[in-house]
Amino acid sequence: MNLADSQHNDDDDASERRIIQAVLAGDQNQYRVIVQRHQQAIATQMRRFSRDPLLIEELVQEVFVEAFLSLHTFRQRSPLLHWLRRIAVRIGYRFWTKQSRQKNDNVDLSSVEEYLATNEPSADWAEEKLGNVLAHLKPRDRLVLTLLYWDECSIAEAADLTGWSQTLVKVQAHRARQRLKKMLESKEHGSHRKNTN
Amino acid sequence: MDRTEKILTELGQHARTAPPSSIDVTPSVMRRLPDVSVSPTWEKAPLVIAMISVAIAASVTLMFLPSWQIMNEPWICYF
Repeated sequence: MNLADSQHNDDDDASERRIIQAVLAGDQNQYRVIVQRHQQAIATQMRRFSRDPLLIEELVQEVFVEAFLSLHTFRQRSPLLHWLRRIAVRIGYRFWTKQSRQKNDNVDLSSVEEYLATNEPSADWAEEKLGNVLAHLKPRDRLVLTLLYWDECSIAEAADLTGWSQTLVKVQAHRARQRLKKMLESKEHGSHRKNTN
Repeated sequence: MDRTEKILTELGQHARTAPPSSIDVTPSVMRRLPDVSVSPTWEKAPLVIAMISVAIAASVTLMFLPSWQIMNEPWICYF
C-alpha cells in the first residue's frame, strides 16, 4: 500500500466516523452512505452462506439492519467493514443453524479431483462444488472451513470474525477436516461398492 | 496437505475469482430503518456491581439470619 492509498483510507475512515456520529445523533439518512459503501463486500461474504440471490439479498439486509441497531456499540477501534463482516458471519452462521444439513446429495470427491486436474474450472463451478462439499458438515465445522479455505482467512482473522479463540479455531478446523475426510471417503466407498455390485 | 485439504484449497482458489456481487439493498434497508429504533445504551458495569452487591447482601442475610433470630428471640433455642 502506498502513501496515497493510506491517505485515502485515513480520509475514508474519518468521513465514516463523521457519518456514524451523524447516524447516532439521529440522522438516519446518513446510514444510506454506509450501506452503499459496503453492500458489495457484504454480499460477497454472504455468498458463502447461500447461493440463492434472493436469500443473499435478505441476509445482506439483515446485516445492515442489525448493524444499525448496534451501531452505538461500535467502538471504532477497527474499520467499519471489519465490524460489519463480523455481524455478517454471525448472521450467516445463524442462518445455517436454522437450515437442515444436506444429507443425500451427490458430491463425489474423486470426480471433483479429476475435474480439477484436467480442467480450468469456472468460479461458478468451484463455488457450487465447494458449497456442496462443505454443506455436509455441521454449521460450526462448515463455518471454520469456509473462513479458512473460501475466504482465505488466517487463524487470527477467523478467530476475530467468529469471536472464538485462536486455539478453538485450530482445533475446530482440524476436527472439521477429519470429519469431512471420513464422510467423503465413506461416501466414495459406498458408491464404489454400489458400482461393483 | 492431505487430499481433502488439497481439494478444498483448490476449490477455494477458484471460487474466490468470482466477480463481486452486484446488489443494491439500500432502498430496502432504509425502508426498514424507521420501523426499528436504536436501543438505549446501558452501561453494564453499574448493573453488574449492583447485582453482585444484592447477591452478597442476600447471602450475608441468609448466613446471619439464625443468629439475629437468637438475639431478638432468645427463647427460640428452647424449641
